[in-house]
Amino acid sequence: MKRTYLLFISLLTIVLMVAGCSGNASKNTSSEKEGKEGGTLNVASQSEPATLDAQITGDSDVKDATRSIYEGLMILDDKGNPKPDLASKVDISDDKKTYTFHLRKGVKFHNGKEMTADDVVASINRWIKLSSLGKTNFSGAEMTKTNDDTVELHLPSPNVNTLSLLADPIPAAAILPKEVVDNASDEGIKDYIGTGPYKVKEWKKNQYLLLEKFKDYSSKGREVKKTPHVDEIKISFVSDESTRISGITTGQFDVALSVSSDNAKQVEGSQNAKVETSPGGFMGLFYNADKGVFKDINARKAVNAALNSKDILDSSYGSSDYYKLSSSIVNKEYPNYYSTAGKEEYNQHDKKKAKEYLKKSGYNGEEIRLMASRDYQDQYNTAVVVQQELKDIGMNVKLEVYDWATFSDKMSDTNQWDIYPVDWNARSTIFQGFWTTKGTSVEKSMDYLNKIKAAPSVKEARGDIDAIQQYVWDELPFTLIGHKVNINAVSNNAKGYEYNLGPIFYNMSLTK
Amino acid sequence: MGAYTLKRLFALIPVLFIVSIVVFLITRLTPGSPAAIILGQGASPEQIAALSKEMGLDEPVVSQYFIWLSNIFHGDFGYSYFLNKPVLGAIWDNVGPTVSLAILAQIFGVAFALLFGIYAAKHKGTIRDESIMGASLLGISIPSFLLGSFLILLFAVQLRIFPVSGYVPLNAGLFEYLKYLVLPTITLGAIQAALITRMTRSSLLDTISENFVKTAKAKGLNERTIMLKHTLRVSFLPILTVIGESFAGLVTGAAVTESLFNIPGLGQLIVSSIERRDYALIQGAVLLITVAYVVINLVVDLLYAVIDPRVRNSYHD
Repeated sequence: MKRTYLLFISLLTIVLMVAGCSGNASKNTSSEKEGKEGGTLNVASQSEPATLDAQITGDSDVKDATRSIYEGLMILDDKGNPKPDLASKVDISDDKKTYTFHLRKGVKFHNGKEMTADDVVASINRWIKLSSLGKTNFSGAEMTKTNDDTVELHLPSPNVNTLSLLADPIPAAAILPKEVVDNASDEGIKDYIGTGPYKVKEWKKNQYLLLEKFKDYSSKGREVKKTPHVDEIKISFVSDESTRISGITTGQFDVALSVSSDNAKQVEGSQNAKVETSPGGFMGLFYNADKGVFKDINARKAVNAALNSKDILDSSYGSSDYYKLSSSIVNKEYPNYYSTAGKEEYNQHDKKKAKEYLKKSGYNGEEIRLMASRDYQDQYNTAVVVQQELKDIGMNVKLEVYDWATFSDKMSDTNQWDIYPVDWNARSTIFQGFWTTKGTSVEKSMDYLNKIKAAPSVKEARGDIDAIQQYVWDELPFTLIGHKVNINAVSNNAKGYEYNLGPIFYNMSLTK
Repeated sequence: MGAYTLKRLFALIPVLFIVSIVVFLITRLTPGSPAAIILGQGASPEQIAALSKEMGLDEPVVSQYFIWLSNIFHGDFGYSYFLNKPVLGAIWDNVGPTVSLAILAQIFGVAFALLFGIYAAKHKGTIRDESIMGASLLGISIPSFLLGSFLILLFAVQLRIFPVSGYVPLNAGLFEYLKYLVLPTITLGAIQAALITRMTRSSLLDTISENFVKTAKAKGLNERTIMLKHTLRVSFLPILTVIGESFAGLVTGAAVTESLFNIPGLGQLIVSSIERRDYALIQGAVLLITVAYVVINLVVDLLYAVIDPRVRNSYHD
């Protein structure tokens, strides 16, 4: 028996020694190697897209999965400037109401058919009808065919953002074959055929999406290059974050999306992968300005004066490496729409001032329903700190926590909530979905947005861009708390990772 | 015995009826629109209303229930708009990994438990017995996500012996299939192993003190024969009950393990269908799991008769 124990202890010691040493053993120098052609890029994504119809939804899962499949007439460069993609040239009429797109010749769809003006007309008109961007920015606009290689977009009034919006990936003005558009219902397309560098090979629901390199693809002559290297991109849906992190540490995955700041440190300490950070959207505290306590601007100002953005963001993102204190809706990285107007109202954490505003609002201890979803830990953490900070100025705040589906349902009914934190995707323009969020003062904001649209150029819209940013701080449809930093993990074995309003996989290659 | 089986199967009908009403009401009373989730951010109320109509969600709840019920009698459990396939097909696609995992976890649990349970009973009161009981207490107490994470860290991340996550079907090769299932099997089977070990030990200890065991010893039978042929057989009834109940639990409750190891099984399917408010899938899966649970328990009850002639005879009384 004694021998058995000795054997067991010896084995255990060996196992632990190997465990302790294996980190060093697996150290490699692949970061110095060049990427090669071929192989399968394994991506671990937190959740599965509900659809692969990139035109109809602004969900980031859909955007990330479809960006390699579809292309638009325009594409954003890394500064957020629109550049021709499937269009070779764009002419704008003097009255800024007609955009003529000269189509690139010889572009093939994944089904082998060559792209024509008919495909572009059908696709863009569907996008105008169904997408949030199309509906809110191109009402009354129409795309028409001039000849087989030229199309025209007719606008009822000038819109300085036309090209940026056509290049925006969320939701994308993807060019689809006309027959796919004709066969589609408003709820989504049935065939996932685009012109992008990768085509859909298999979508195994609940498991993975497998994309295959499109052999006939070429981005020759385009300003924004797409050069596919790997044969396949496999996007696995891995809901558990620790599994995604372990997978990238062991080399099972080459990219792990949606890494929390807590786990980023673990990746940074790993020999096999690195953390890639990129500008994220903003965390905002949205007020119900239609009903209840926050109908009064003084109550909104009281909350705004009380909040300590640093404390909130520290709690949500752990370290200042993973958030940015900024009063601008648009990130500094997209200078066209970045604005510091009204910054003196940001991050005041002045309890005395907050209490004065609260007194002015006539607040009398009414219960305030602070709604949050635990499905997004940063939003929940924000709500917990906000609750405490508002209690400190004498507000009676009740935290109501729901799963995301319930939260979304309640959000659309202003009888159900008073205040909630939500973070939005990073965008290159100020034209974002939150303007239509229920309970915000949207009517007045529309005047500012319309003025920006009517400007002759983005440069000349600067005054109006500053004005709407100032309006946000004066009227407080929401309080901007700060910007998060998106964190993804990329294996040292993978090269060519890029990020522009989301991760881009189509230029990636593997070193082994 | 045939009559008994039929009686048990008939008893299933009211159970299923009640479960169907409860699960239907829970899905309908929970806030969150499946159409809004499918269409995503930015969908207009008109689009959401149109899809809700297409999904039959604009009908009154009572008529939705009876439409669903009558379709089930025709073998139609509904259609999952998220997975774009019939509910039965979706469940069938996910049954394989769960059943594989449950069977392997059960084999692991029973083998481990019998070995150590018998050993502990045989060495009652010694340090070896105490160690096994201590370890089994730990096995019962440790949450599966914690054990799974530890196993991943040691055997997948550090030692690189097993993959971190994923599932490969059996037709891809036995070695690959097992390689992906070893860590999930231990994670899921640990609690079963611990439970059955304790049950085996206590059941054996009860039987050892019976007169027939003393008689066998007095007759000079060797200890191994007494333990395996006589004592264990008599002690096996309560052990079988635990095995049966725990197997039903393994099939129906592997969601945490499946999620941790990213195994596309029934548990993960149900969790994601709840998040997406995939009504048809939630209802169909819960109903079929109820059937599975009851049938597994029935099989265990029938196995009593195979093992114990006294139970067999009672069916004829």
